[in-house]
Amino acid sequence: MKSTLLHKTAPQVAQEIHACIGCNECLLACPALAETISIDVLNRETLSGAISTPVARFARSCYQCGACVAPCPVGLHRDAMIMWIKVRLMRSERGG
Amino acid sequence: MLYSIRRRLRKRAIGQLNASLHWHVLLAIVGLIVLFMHAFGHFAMISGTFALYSMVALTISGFVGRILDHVMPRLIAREVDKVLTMQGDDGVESTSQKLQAVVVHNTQENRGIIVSQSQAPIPMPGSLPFTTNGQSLGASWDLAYISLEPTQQELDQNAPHYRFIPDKKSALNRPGALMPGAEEHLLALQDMQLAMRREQFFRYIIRYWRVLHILLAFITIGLVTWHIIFASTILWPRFFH
Repeated sequence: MKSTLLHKTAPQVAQEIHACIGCNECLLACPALAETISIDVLNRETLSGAISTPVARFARSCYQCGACVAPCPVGLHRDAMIMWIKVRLMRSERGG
Repeated sequence: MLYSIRRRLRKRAIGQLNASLHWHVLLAIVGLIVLFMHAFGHFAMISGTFALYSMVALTISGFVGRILDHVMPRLIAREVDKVLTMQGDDGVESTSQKLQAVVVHNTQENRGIIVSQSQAPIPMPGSLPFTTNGQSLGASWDLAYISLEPTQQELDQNAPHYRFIPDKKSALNRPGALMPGAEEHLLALQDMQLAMRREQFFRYIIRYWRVLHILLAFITIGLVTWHIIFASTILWPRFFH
């Protein structure tokens, strides 16, 4: 198995968030998203600051299927961004 | 089927696909119950039995898939956590830089030791015949002068000053002895590489389980179609003639 960087680092995630045009295509294509979340809120909470309950619920339910990647008109990886939220949530849970 | 079609549709609303997924799961369970009732304990017809078995396999693969969908991302997140630093930077790059700094530092330190050793006069054991008044006469040309007695170096093997003489018992032969502090970074790098391999493995499981589920769906559709055609050839003459 080839050892490659599968996830994205925080600076790469930040770069992708800045490139996001907010078209909502990724959220429309997501089979794990059950409630309406604004893309602006998701982008804002992905990188830093407090993670709201709907965003945390969405991040926990994301199963990294990659359905959000293909519809993105600018070729961003929403799954990698959600993975960063997952890691942040895990660290905050571990930290108390 | 409808869920797969809906996934590929462009006109959707947020959360609609999630609802479709729930319907997909529910209809799979209901469909399996209906099929068992349809079979009614009669498994004589080969086409129907195969169709039922494939439907059971499809439903089981779906359930296992749902479990994997819950478990695998958590495992992936755990592995990603190991590879990223607290600031979210690449852990491999960060550790590699630290390792490089340690190696450079130790290389410079060792070079300094070699220089100081070469500048210092080489002390010769007093018992050897090729020293006069503490002055070294250089290496002996005659092998007969080499004593079979243990040399001072051999006697002092465990002494602290002996540690820079490389032989089998020397501390230099231990891996990482030349690089104090590098060993832990090497171990951290190995851990991170292992974590990345695990992450890739978990992603492969998610991806290929989905492929397996779709493959089973196609097999089930084929077997059900075969069963319908086979049953209709039997039932058609009975009902219409």
